[in-house]
Amino acid sequence: MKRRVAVTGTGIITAHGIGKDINLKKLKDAVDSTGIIAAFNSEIYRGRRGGEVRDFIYAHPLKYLKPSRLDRASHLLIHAIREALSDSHLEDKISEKEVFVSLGTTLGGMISGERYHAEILKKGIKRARLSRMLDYLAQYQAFHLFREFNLEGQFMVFSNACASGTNAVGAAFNAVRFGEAGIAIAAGYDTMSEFTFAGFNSLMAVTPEVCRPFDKNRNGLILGEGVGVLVLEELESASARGANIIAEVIGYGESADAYHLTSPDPEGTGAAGAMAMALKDAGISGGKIDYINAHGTGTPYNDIMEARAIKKVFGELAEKIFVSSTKPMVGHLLGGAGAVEAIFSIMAIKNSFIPVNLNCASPDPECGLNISREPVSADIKTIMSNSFGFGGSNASIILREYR
Amino acid sequence: MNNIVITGLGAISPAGVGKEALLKAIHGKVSHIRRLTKFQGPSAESTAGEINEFRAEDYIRDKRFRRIADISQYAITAGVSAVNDGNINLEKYSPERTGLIMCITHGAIGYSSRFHKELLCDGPQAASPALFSESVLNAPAGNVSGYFGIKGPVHTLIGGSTSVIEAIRLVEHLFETDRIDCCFLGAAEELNEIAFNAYARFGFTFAPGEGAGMLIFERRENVSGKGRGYAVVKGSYSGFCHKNAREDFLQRVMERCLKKAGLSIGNITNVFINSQDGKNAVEKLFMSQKNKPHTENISHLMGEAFCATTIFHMIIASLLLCDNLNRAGNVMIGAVSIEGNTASLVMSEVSDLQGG
Repeated sequence: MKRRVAVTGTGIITAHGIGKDINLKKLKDAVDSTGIIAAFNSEIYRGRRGGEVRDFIYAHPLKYLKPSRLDRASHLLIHAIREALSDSHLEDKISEKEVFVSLGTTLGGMISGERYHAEILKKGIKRARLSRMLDYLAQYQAFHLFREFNLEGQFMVFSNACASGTNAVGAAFNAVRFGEAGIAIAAGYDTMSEFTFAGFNSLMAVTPEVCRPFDKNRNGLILGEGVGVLVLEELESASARGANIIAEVIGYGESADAYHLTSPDPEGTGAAGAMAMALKDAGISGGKIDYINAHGTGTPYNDIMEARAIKKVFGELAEKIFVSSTKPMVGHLLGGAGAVEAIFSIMAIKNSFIPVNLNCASPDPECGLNISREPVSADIKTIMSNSFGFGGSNASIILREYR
Repeated sequence: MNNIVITGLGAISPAGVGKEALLKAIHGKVSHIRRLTKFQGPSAESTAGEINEFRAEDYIRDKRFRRIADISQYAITAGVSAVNDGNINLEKYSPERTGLIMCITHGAIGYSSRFHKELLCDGPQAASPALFSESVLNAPAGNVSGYFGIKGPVHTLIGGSTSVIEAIRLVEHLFETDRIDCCFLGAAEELNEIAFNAYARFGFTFAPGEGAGMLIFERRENVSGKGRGYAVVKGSYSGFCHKNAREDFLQRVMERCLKKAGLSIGNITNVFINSQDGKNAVEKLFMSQKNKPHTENISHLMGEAFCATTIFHMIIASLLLCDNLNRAGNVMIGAVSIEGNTASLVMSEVSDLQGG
């Protein structure tokens, strides 16, 4: 029997800022929080902009871990989880409960890894600072979380490129609704590492200008960093303990393209499959979706693919449903995107507005979607959020206001 | 998961390609750990379980998939080996109802370090995009899914030796929710200089290994007529121990696993465990038993290949469970990661009784 799954807490850090309040304000005000990258010299690259988290060095205080031994990824994750647990009023009780932790990341602790490798090249393999390896592999962020929050339970770390965050939320959703876990913590995260930035530049995927999803002149994405955390609980238990029910997760779908490692299937068949599956899973028709938070990277290939997929699934409704990508505001957070965009979707539901798709001055007629280019107040009840990644990973999650 | 059976076993290891090579190594106690040749190890005497004399073109028919990182080549080869082993006709399944879970520990660090070196030494223009795309952690899964046309749920789970057991939970869920009819579960690891040297500097003395394994799961009702399949997974459990008492914790994990499987310690005839902590836990768990289970660890013969070692253990367990001469009863597989994550699963023979 499927149980209802409530979101009882969220934590978020993006280029908009640290915490829910600033992220809500800047999301609603449609602020472009990207800028010239400061973490490394971006002048040598095709694209120079990114969505960096500013004014954040360490998560503090740390009870059990040494700050200098953690990668930036762990610091972001710990800080955001602390916010989410506080939001759900579980911070003092979480260590008494068995939890399922579901993480999504493309890179793990890549900043530590690239620094270690740079030292190897400079000083030799035996003299590079070994402590940098203590938080490089993606599973180490999970270990550090368990230690810092004294958690009991199980975890999974998904790395399905840009779909990772939505996969993590989906896995947590499934764990709670099928009774495998009473409480789940789902998080998606990634950092601004030069290795990854260089990689996307080498693939000519990064725009030299601004990110313009669904614009006919779009020419690439902007990378970002950050983390989104959602606390999911079985709804009846959450209500019984007096938790604040922020929203519900009601459907999840996933698929693979089996097409190409770095390009999506141009027909969008796999993406459409994930969206259709999410609708079926939620037990609703396309007409119930008020807004689609698109993957919308701003690359020529992704956006047209996603538009085709949306039309396959929604038919004539595709021209009417509000669609936008929030990536121009904070950048593409890769593994963090799905979880952050789920939280943005919840903010839209709670505050009755459609997030703006910045920089879409000339909507691509081939896409033919109802792109939300200006602030719109609307009574939003049900949102679909899409994420599509390298390797052909497709994932779609549906969130609804709590009734 | 009694109605989901393992029907195909594929492997590439230092012993060679195919499940028989693994079994032969275990039965004959043949070590494939030799002096390291692929790169400079921590010392001149460094040893490892290397895969040598492997020709991708012998196993990977599609040329598009031959010039990819070793880890992806190993994963595809293990998949080919499993499909051939089980005589699996993938065309009878819809691609959208076929799933893949790949478990990875380090990924293609060789490719990522080459890309990074090109970037730092020669600048962004010199850094090859092919190296970057192959170094993304889900590249092996993307390549396997592309090679076999798998369009259902495709996931990469990151972790050490426990990740394969954690993946079983996902496999189970996908079948139980009627999302898939066929699932590939794989794990892959390639040797790399950076991790090898780092582990040595941290004080670990194991010889690392490399390779890949693949299991194919199908619904029992779909395999009648071609044999019963090798084995079923009766139960699994995992947890993280952030205290020092890892042996006690693993013992508890094993006990919970047995409970989920509906078995007692007296039902276990064989155990595969990947560490000394684990071996100690097994000895404590079975202390009261008159007939102790036979305990093995293939990493002593192949090198420590983390998640690939665990899947090698599952492959050998599957073979022991249908060995006509010397059939195992129920096999427990335990894994303890360096950091304290622990996991256990129990495999049994495919029963004649309906519902297992």
